[in-house]
Amino acid sequence: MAGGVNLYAYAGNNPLALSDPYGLQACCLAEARDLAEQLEQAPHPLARAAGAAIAIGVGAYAAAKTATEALKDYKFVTYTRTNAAGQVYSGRTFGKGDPQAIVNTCVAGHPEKLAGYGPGKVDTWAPANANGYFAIRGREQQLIDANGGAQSDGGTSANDIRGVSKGNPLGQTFHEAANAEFLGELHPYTGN
Amino acid sequence: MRNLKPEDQATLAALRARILATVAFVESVQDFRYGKGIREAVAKALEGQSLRSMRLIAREVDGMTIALEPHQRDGLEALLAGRLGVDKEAERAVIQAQVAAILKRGTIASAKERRRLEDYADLLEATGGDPSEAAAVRQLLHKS
Repeated sequence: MAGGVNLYAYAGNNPLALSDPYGLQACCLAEARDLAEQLEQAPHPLARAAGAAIAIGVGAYAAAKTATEALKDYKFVTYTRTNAAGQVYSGRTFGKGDPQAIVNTCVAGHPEKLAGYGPGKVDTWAPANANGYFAIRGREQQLIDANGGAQSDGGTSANDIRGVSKGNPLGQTFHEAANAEFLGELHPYTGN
Repeated sequence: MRNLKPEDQATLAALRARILATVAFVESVQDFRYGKGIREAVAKALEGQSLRSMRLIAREVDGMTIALEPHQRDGLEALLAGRLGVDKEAERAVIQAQVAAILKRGTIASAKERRRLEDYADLLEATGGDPSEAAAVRQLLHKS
């Protein structure tokens, strides 16, 4: 057995970073492909059918694996833009690849009324998982508050509205997630 | 405690079941650490018979699924359909129609609507949605 008795060998000895949700290793995938090819050329129709079924399974696994790998490169990002008077717009976005490139793409789609603001500056980012989603929601609100608060709250930032409404039942949880995931509180909680 | 109409009671119960099933699923596929906070908020909404709060929680929990891997999202949708009869295709069609109406109008009515459109464009990207629809949404976000 290629992986010996190491229970984590299927994940390259890094069970926290990798997983094999379909129970197939890369080596098994290659072997399955070979087996499918051999069976598809077998004289017996049942063997050929089995070969075709294996080939479909291998194809589906490969497609799911590619999609899973692609999502690993996605991130939630918070950023700021500042105008000449020092007024700050804070936001969050989501995308693939380098955080600054993700912010640049987002800023390119900003409305004309933010035209006088400087380039988007990355505040922080979190990986695209459920913890990251909660953390970035909380972080965006903390960032708005730290930069003067939303105008709907009587604040001085360039944000018209809050990132998380005051009465959002998950507001406190978002806030705590941000504190935990980004190792500190940027601004005290301002929800109800 | 409010006295909800029977149909609102049913909606409250259905939303609660959906939220709890979604959270349990996410906990089963990811190391999700905030399920407790969600369950507490759900319990509070149920205790106060607050349909508005339950709807808000449901929307947030649904938004969180953007962070699921494609095969995980498919698994969740199958679970919700099988256990609770949730039709995600129909829900997507409703949202798509709402977005189409905004695109036809050609203007964004409020900051909240802008935020929802931004989230929708992100969702299209993450789930491999129609690139032309995503481009149309981004274009409106830029000009309006």
